[in-house]
Amino acid sequence: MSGRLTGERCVYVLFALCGLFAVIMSGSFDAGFGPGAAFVPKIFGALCCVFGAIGALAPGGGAQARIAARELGLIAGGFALYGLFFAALGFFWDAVALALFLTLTFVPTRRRWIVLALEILFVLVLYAVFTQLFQVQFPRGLL
Amino acid sequence: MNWAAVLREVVTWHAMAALIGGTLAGLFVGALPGIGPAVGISLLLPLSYFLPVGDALLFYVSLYQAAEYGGSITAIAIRTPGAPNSAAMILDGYPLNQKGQGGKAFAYSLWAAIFASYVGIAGLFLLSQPISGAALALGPAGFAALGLFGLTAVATLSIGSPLKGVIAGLFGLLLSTIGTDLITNVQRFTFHQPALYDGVPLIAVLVGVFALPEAIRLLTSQEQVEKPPLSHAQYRVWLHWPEFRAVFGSMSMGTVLGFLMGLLPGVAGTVPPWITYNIAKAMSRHPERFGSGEPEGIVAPEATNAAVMHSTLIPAFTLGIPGTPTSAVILGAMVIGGLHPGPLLFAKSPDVVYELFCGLLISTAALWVIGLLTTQLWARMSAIPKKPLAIAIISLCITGVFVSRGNPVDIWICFVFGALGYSMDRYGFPVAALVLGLILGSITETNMRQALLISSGSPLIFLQDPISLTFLLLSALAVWGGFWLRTRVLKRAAALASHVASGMDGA
Repeated sequence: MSGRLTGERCVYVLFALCGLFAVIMSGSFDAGFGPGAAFVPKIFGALCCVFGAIGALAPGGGAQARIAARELGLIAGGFALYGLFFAALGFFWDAVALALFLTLTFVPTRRRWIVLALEILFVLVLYAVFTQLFQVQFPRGLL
Repeated sequence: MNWAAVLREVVTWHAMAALIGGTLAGLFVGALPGIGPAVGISLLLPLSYFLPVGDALLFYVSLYQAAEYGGSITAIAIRTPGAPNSAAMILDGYPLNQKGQGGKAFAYSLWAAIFASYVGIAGLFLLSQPISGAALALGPAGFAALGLFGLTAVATLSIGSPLKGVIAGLFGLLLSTIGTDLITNVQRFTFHQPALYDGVPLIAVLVGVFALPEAIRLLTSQEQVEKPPLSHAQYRVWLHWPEFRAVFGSMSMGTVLGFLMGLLPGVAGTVPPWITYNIAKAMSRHPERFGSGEPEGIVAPEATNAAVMHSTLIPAFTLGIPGTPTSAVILGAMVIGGLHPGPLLFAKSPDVVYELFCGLLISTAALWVIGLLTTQLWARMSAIPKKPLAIAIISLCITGVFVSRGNPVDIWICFVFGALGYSMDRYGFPVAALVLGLILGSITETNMRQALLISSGSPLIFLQDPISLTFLLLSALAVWGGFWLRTRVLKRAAALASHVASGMDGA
């Protein structure tokens, strides 16, 4: 093992841990290895754990990409932001708020206001299509 | 089969709207670099809750068909493939465009797509029923082994590490166990969350692993996309009979080989067009012209893509084994619509399937007409700024996932799978294998347990059943074949692709 913590190894470890978790948790489903509810989770969980460990321990090879802190931050930040918006605004407005925030963050300044207007128009069209055409009820209305 | 009733259902206004809408949507998503049919269909999956299942299927399959040509439009116009399997179109399509014959390049591409599509549809009509009939002879052991074969083939035969493919497939199988066990009624991995009692929501997973990673990539990408030329003359899409006849041989070769390769789960995808391009070059009287705008270099890969698209539907519908990520998403749409892909599909819902096949005949003609008239429009679409598009995709993901079950927890599940899908894609784990494991897991597990109950727990039943034994041997062959393909064919195909790409960058 190269000892280098890479994104690829983390994914292998994630799958191995999920497999191990499945094997441990499935012990409570029913007794024994017979074709009961625990059968598939135990077998395939064990295989997932073994293969994941093999991949994580393999010396080098494959993509040695480092964990991209920027990408992790973007994904984790997106999660956290959406959660904040959801807690504060409830559904639909949280999606609108996230779209507006991403526009202000990622779109170049000179196009920002045009894009903001188009994004607002887009979500309004989405709202109209789902509520009027497909009769979907959103938890909080537009007004 | 009551063909009159089938045809009556196909020519209704809503079916026509579905196939034309799907064709337009397919051209749009195909022409946008980085989006592709799998992302497009997964974004529009919530529609399957609101449309009749036949219309929804017609919409998605028409989208898939049109996206193949749509991906070629940007490959020819701006040297950027709309989808990975359109990359081979750059080799001769873009140089022909650069010579001022863009319309001819689009025409060769469109004609090849239409020709191969009709051959593929004929194959669907002729082969689906016999294969489905043969599959009805499967017992529980055979079904379980079939599911394992499909999973093994997709996991090991696709480009990338077979180990990663197997892990992704196993994880998908594990995901399929979440929820209430149908046989014993035990709650598995639900953590007392009502949202998980029926298993992980399929739409949230598919949107998460396909659409969200693409949106994140578009949002963070610094890549500049070339703007398409504005001359209207370059988009006059038409072929004369002598021109069609001159490329008929390569077109037919690409069609036949593409159709055969599409029948094999895992082989279909980005590899077949490169294979037929090489063969067309080897067969040509003027191989030195390839790479500088040779029409045979356009029609062979385009015909292959179109034929593969149709033939992957055969194992998907008849055996429940999708050969490409897009056909896996289509299977997901069928499951959402209450259909059961596999041998029983033709026994229980033959009218829906044959309506789809007949509808494809019309949607192919619609693609031809729309392609003739609107190619310039789709080429211009490729210049849409990527960051606003990514934000719109994220908005559509959140809203679409919510409306499928009305449960906000689904959005969090979508985000989790979005992060997982992004990580998997970045480090070479095939998402298609995970999706296939999720879709096939329930059927495979149920049949596996039924077979073991029949045999009183003895696993020898899988070896004693001749059909099961055959599929297990095929699975072993797929594992060996995956390593062989990876070391021989795929490396050569990948080397050719990168060599040509670096050559074009330097040109």
